[in-house]
Amino acid sequence: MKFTLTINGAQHQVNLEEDTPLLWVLRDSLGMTGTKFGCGVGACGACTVHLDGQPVRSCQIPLSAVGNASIQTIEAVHELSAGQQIQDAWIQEQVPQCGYCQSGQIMSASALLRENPTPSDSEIDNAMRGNICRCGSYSEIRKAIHLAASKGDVNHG
Amino acid sequence: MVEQLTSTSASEGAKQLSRRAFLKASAIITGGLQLALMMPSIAQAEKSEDAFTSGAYIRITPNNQVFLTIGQSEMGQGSLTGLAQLIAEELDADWATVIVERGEVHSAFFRPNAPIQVTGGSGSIRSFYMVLRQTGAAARQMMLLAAARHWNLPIGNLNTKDGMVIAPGDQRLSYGDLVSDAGALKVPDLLSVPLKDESEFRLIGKPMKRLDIQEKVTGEAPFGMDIQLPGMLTAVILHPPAFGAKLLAFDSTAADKAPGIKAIFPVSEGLAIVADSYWHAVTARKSVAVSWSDDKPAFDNDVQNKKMMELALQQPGLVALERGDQRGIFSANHVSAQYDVPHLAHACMEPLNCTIQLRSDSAEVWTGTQFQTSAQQTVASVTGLAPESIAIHTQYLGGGFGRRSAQDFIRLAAEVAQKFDVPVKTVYSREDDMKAGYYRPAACCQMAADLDHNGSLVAFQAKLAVPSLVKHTGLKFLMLPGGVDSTAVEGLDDHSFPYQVANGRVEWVEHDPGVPVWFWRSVGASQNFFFLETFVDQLAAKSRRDPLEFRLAHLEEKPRHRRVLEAVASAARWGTPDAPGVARGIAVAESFGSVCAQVVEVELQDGFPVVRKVVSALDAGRVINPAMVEKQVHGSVLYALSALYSGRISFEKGQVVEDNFWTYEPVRIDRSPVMETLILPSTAPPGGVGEPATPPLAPAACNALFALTGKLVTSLPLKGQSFKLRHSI
Repeated sequence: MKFTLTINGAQHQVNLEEDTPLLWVLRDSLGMTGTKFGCGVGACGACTVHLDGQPVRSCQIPLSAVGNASIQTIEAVHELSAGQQIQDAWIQEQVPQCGYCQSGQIMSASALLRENPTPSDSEIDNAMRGNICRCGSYSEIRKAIHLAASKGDVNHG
Repeated sequence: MVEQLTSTSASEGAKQLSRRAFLKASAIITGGLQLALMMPSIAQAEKSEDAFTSGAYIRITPNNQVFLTIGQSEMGQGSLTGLAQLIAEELDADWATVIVERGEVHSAFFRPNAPIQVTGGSGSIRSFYMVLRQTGAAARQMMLLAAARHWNLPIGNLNTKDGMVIAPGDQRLSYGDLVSDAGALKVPDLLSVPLKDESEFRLIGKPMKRLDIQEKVTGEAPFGMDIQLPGMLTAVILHPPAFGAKLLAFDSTAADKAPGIKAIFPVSEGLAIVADSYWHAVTARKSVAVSWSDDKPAFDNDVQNKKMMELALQQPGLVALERGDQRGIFSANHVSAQYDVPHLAHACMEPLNCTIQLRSDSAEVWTGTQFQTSAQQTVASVTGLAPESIAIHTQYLGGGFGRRSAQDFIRLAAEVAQKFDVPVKTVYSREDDMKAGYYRPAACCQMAADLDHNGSLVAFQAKLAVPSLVKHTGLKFLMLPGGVDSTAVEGLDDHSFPYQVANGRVEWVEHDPGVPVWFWRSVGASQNFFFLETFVDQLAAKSRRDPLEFRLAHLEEKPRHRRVLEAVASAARWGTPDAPGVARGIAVAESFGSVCAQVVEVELQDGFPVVRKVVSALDAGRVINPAMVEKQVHGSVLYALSALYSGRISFEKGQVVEDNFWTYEPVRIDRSPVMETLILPSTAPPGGVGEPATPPLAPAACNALFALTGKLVTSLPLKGQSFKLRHSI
């Protein structure tokens, strides 16, 4: 079936089975490999993208369910002010080790920051517990989110 | 200005190097200086020199870009940056101009002490500390000499800083200005090239930012999984349901008609399903009907395996330690315990994958491997191609932890690629990655000890039942004299047993039930220090001594152990009262040339133990990048914590039960404890960093649990075990 997707503000046409997960549309059909495959069952968060601004596991979203929703991926997350703040804070705190989970971490964190500009530790835990990191970058992630939040205050203050 | 390093270890490193390596310089066609490290003693490597010209450590361009090529795999541990710091330090490069590149498989990247390109054993910095410094220093000498000739000045009048040669009167020439002159010079002898004194270090020991960070926050970092090539197909493997089961027959009638399917055919272990995309391949896989032989491991389930391990412990083993009276003294103060640990999966975030393009006389391989030499040999053995005709393009590794030094995914990818003239990416699903083996082995251990009336250890006995990783990996250099596998007895053999004891015996019984096992972050130390360090707390309890004091009293000749224990105890304020409902435990472990002690604070939440805080003290010798070392400690703690809480690959009817992160549960951010890490200053040669903070975590936590609940933990993981506070027993 033919589908038209709005990804990072641009329209893309694909001709695929309707049950194809958005993850594999992005990676295999459109070559947008920043969104990662980690588990295929929505358990690890490596494939997190924004669907109309909400963080979702793209491995669990069939093409048929996307509809007209606007999709944002790691490739364009810097276009969000929260996304840019998160990426800057990730660099400042040197968060990534192997880096494989970090696209998903950054998508979840930027969605959190947009909803909640100054999250507490427990709010960070709630928003980020769907994203597994096997390298163990969690304390750096927490620090980086607080750092990004503090910069946001300055910018908006 | 500069002086030769004079420590024993440095000169030993230099001697080792002199037998194997020399440097070669050339002005390359595009301009600039290329400096390659050669290993002339290995004939095969020389042949491959012509094939892969990127096997160079240093390339300086006329516009002052400094390309440093690193042959060690980057799997998060920070080798790209840490190794670049070593070269750039001695080269006196401007760090801002350094661009780091991942090297191809090449003899230039062999370990200085072995003809293999491998990343493991916490060995990158340890192995290359001297050779990379010498390589950087040699290039700097060439720049100095070229500048001296240019100005007609004595070389002793010149200095270098930030990629410039500086002459009296502040005359300056950039390295870029000098590349063609320097490229024509003879490379100085590595042994005589002067190295910096540590007082001159400006990169070594500094928390330089990672050179791979930008691409790892934008999604651009290339992992093996991300390779896309024209015409590329994707394969998944239908793996056998049990280890050893063989494919008897299959019916792919339905799957053949599924969208995008190109071919379905048997491979050495299972069936390959090849399609135009991952989703098409993995979807079609579900509709293949398969019958398998009923081969399986020697046990059906973990209870049976434990019984088999206990039976194995009744057999005579190979002796790893024997001292004094080995029969044991069996005083009134006798303590004994039996421990067991389960199989563990590595569960790297990036599922295993490998892309191969085969041609009639060559092959290209794109994968995240920890073991390039073995990958080359694996593809050669499958295809019949000469190893030197096989290029290994190492990508970033989405986690390694030992798993990516195994060859199963590369071998299967080569078998699949043989059927096609287009590149094929073979991908493990998460379920494949978790169920297809190569685990930390399950192990069982009995320990016994005698204490005298002062509470001092007079006799120690241990017997281990665990498979041989030497046998599984083929890495014979890990075998100790007498046929004892060093990975089986790590921490308990005569060389590595840390505590003073006059009488003792340690035996290893090889118990191999037919499960593929492999290196897992910290290897044998991951289980053996759980056994030993929880047992030591039992000895301390029996003798009514404080666990820290008991350890220190038995570590009089182990200054590094004492130092980390004292440091961690001070930082964690050991000996002060615990908060209500909280207890602390302590443990120490030496592994991979470093010593780490931890104090772990535990409480019960609804009966389940929760680690609230981990204080670590690490003596890793000289540290190259303290910021990255701290992150490796954090990572090791969390890796060990996942295993402690719930890590278990279990079996039913001979088949692996856990298949994804719902059943094999890594620690998530909400269970990430507060971590405080002390990196102890040292001028000793660098030790390992990626693994040594893993082993102490489980015993320190279990010792805290013992203090809190009175219950001795003898089996991991903690999930499924019940705990009550001591006062409520």
